[in-house]
Amino acid sequence: MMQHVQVLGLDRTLDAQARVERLVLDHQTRLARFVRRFVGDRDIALDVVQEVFLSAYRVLCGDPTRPLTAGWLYKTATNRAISYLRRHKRMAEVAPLEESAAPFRLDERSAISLDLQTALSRLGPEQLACIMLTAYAGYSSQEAALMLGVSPEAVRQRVCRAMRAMRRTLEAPE
Amino acid sequence: MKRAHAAYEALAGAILLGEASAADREAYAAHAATCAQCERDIEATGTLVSSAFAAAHHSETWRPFVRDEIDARIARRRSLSMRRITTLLSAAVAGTLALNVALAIGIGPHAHRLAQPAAPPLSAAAQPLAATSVAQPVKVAAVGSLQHPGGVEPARRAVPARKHSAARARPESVLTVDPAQASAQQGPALPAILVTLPLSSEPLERGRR
Repeated sequence: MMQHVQVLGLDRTLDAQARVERLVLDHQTRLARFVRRFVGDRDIALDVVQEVFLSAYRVLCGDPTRPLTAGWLYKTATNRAISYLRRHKRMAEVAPLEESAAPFRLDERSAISLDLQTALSRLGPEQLACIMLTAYAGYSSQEAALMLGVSPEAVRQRVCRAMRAMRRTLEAPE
Repeated sequence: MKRAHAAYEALAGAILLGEASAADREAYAAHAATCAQCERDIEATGTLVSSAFAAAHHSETWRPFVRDEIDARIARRRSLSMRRITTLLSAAVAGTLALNVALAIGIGPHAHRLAQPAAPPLSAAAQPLAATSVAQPVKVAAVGSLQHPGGVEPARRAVPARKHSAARARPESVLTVDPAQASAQQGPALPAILVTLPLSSEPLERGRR
């Protein structure tokens, strides 16, 4: 029986599923919060996180020995979130009324959390990715550069611009 | 100038992220003193944004649970891939079986025909003769023309048999075709002289010489 399982590659899929379950248990909460801050919507964040873990499963089915770290999960989540924001922006350009009718949904009702979300929502996807990976997720500019495929100087520059823009938003009177 | 300013922006980003050295900070401070665009109090910006992130972290209450959904999607995906593998295997087995059956009952006896180039079409009258050559080689010895309703068919010249060929080793025989049967199968009856033919061309060859 075990031989048949190995021949069909089922042992790979079972092993991959076990490893994905471990990744899910370890990272689902932090990753989902990260993506929700990124895209500003809980349901979309859940969709993105599920897609990230399914991508991990596909990768592990193809190469069971590949080490998948939290960095890989954040990188994949960031890329998917950027894709979503770009698509959403294109759709908003086509139908601006629908965009205004889709407010951010957050669990937290604290003012600082909503202000932060407002400040983040005004950033472009590239600046948002840099600031989220460094200031929120705690990666260094070198690690963020590796994840995003840009130079560390570009990451630092975007972080600088993003933080300046956020300061203006956070300090602006309502 | 613009490039130099971008370099100082990167330096400011390093200061904001806490990655800059003391020399970097001094270099940025010296630049910011002369630059209108660069903030002199860059540290204040970092403090404000960092405290906003920290407060947001602290107030997070959302605890998502996506394990069940992911398990369900993985199970669905696995059953789909299993179904695909089963379908592929079934198709391969069915194809092999079909090929075996075709070779055994259909294509096998006629396979050598498929390999040979197509012969020129024979007339209706010559077809019964040609049909016999499948089971046993027949040498057509008639010289002249075969008259038949469809037109004039040029007769085949006799081919001199080689001395040591396998055809010469075979016993001489005479092909006899029942005219009634031939007419029933292929149309009008042939003249009686053409119906009964010697299978060897040697007597005719000798006579001609």
